[in-house]
Amino acid sequence: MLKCVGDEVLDFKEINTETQTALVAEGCVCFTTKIILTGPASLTMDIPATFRAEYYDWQGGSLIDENRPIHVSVSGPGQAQALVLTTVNGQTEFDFVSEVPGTFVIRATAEFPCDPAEVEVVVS
Amino acid sequence: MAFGFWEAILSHLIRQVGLRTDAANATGSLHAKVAEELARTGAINPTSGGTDTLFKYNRKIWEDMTRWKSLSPRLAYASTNSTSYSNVVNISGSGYLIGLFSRSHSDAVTGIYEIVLNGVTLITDTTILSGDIDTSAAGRAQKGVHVTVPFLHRFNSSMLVRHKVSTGTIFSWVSYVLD
Repeated sequence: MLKCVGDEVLDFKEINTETQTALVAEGCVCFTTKIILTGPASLTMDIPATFRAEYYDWQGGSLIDENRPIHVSVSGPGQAQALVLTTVNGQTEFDFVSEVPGTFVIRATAEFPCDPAEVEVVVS
Repeated sequence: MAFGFWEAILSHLIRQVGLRTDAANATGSLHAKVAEELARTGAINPTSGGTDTLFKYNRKIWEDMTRWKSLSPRLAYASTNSTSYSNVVNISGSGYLIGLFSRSHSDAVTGIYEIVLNGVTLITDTTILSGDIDTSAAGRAQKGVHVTVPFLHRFNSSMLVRHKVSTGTIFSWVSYVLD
């Protein structure tokens, strides 16, 4: 049985022993909040593309009242980049452009317990 | 005089030793005390454990020991790369926390744990796993850090183990038994 405990969604199972029925949740299914990051998977050098990061609840519902900042980091060829974005109506947008080819990983995280999002972008 | 003497002796014996029909009484005659002791000892080889007779208490201890020996160890597993706490194991019930095993193969890692038993925090924000991997070829060949922490901690109503990192990814196993 799925149950929200604090910031987490846990899957509790009943375990019957000789003397009790214990409720046990091993591991964490997910956090109650997640970030969805959308944008193109491939880009052309020097041409910017827009990416969108949005807060959702664990069941896929929009969280338009969740407006805490989203941290975005980019790793790949060259120096890693990071920025902090403010959100409006639970979402934010940013542009990504690269002057060099390669595979980049864009990661969006929150400042609170929240499942992060990650996308891989190939620039050619 | 002689009649009075023997009467006194007999009266004394009856009062101290008592009669075989005396009811069990811890402060009564010898017969009453023996009856009380037999009642406390109870029937030999009782069919169930208990705490009202000595033999039942012995059986209860034997049953508890037998159950302890037959308990199945359980292992909970979780991994995380989050800087926020997430669940390794959350139990409503009773048993024993046996141990914690934590490992990582990240280049740099700090594994932080929180353990709460019966609603009482045992440890929190405690770094159990920490390491920087030797990034030389030889070091990478044996990449990984791990820590085992033994426990034997009783929980009567609940157990919660959570983990998080400041850097890297950790893998956690918690060994426990349920009553």
